[in-house]
Amino acid sequence: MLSLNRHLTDREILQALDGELSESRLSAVDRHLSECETCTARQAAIASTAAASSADYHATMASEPIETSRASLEAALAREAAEPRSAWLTLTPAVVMAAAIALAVTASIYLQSAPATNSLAVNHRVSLPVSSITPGATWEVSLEELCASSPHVRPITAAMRAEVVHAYGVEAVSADQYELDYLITPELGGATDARNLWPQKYASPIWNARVKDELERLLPQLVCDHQLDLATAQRDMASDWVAAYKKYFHTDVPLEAHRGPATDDDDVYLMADAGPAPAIRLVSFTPAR
Amino acid sequence: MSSKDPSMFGLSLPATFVGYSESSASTQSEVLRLFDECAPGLRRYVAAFGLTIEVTEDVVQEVFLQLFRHLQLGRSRENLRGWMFRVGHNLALKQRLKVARRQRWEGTWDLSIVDRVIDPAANPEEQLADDRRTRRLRAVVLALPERDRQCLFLRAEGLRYRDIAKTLDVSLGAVAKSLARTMTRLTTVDEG
Repeated sequence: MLSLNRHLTDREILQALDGELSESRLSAVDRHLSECETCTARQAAIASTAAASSADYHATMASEPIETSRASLEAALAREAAEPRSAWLTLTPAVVMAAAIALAVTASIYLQSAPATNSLAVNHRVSLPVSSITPGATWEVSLEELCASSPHVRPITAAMRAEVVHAYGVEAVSADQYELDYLITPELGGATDARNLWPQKYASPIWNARVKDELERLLPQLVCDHQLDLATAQRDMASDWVAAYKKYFHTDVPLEAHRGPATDDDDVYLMADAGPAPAIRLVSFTPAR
Repeated sequence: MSSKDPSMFGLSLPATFVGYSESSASTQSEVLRLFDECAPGLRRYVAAFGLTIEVTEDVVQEVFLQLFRHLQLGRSRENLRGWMFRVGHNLALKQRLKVARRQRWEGTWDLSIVDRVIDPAANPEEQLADDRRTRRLRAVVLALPERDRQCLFLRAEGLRYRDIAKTLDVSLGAVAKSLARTMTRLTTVDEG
């Protein structure tokens, strides 16, 4: 039988309050509490403080209910359901497995054909989109427009998402494992177009979305400060964002301040403009690889 | 992990994946039911990232659209509430980075709005004491490292430690340690 011949820690008390202890541990804690006034008082104090803190959070963060919220979702779901049934909705297990195997084989060949590697170099390659699927595309927008206003962002339609997901063969991967990321960030005029979107994994090691975000932060600043030509910035992002990071941050590895799990600071996600689609033209890049 | 391991490309197939779409109408109903049940808490948590009401609402809507797609693909229904918080957390981070990255988190939750939490039925002395207590506790929360604050808020939303750990991509032990550390700080100030 587990016994506690000492005072309880705050962690034990809190875990007991939260129902996060095993039965044997909870029994030992309960037995101790029944005999220890100090710990019983501490438990009451923690419970009171925790309740007050939670109540403050609930009261303060309670945003006003948006009347149209549910109706908006209902309409969006109806639109989503009305989209033509695309490949990602109609896959059979066999098709999924075939796609997975095909991509794995392709990846294997790709990696085997590469020169001798180190982990950074391998990671560099798997952190890039496939150029034939995602060459990068921009709205035709002037530097003045780009730096003077919010970036153009259009809705990523279900059809667009399905096209990208299908092209990369990641239909079977849970949506919370990756995000459709803009290859050329909208802040550099990157278009909401299947040619400019790719499924970037949250958990990619080293050259992950966290690092890419830093580049996406730097380049628009350089462009709008007239220190870098817009077309060059777009092309560098489209052709190899990892090489672009190395070029503009003058380093071969991610800077210490830019490292960290991608799930902390993952990739770009922008909400769509509310207004009508801008009358602009798409410009596709030919990757310089 | 080998550099040729297909799993590094995200190709591992979930055991629950069946590949057949479900009835769209019933999925829509289920998503709307979950929206009614979970949207308020999710909205609170997303708003705590310092996002505007409009952007918060966009994130919440996107979470439920992704949930619809998730269910349509016949994927796991286990712990959908935890799944929603995880997706909402990731989307909120991205929004904050791209849209509101210059806006400090404190901008939407600071000492100036303490009066929203004071019990209006309390007498003036009690209200004053409540006000002071709330200010003291909130000052501690504002000073917490963001990860500790997120743990605290997710706990306040009723998530189990394992779900908090999944949402924040940290270990179960790290969650327990973070919450205990935070509670020690809060209690010390509260008792003072």
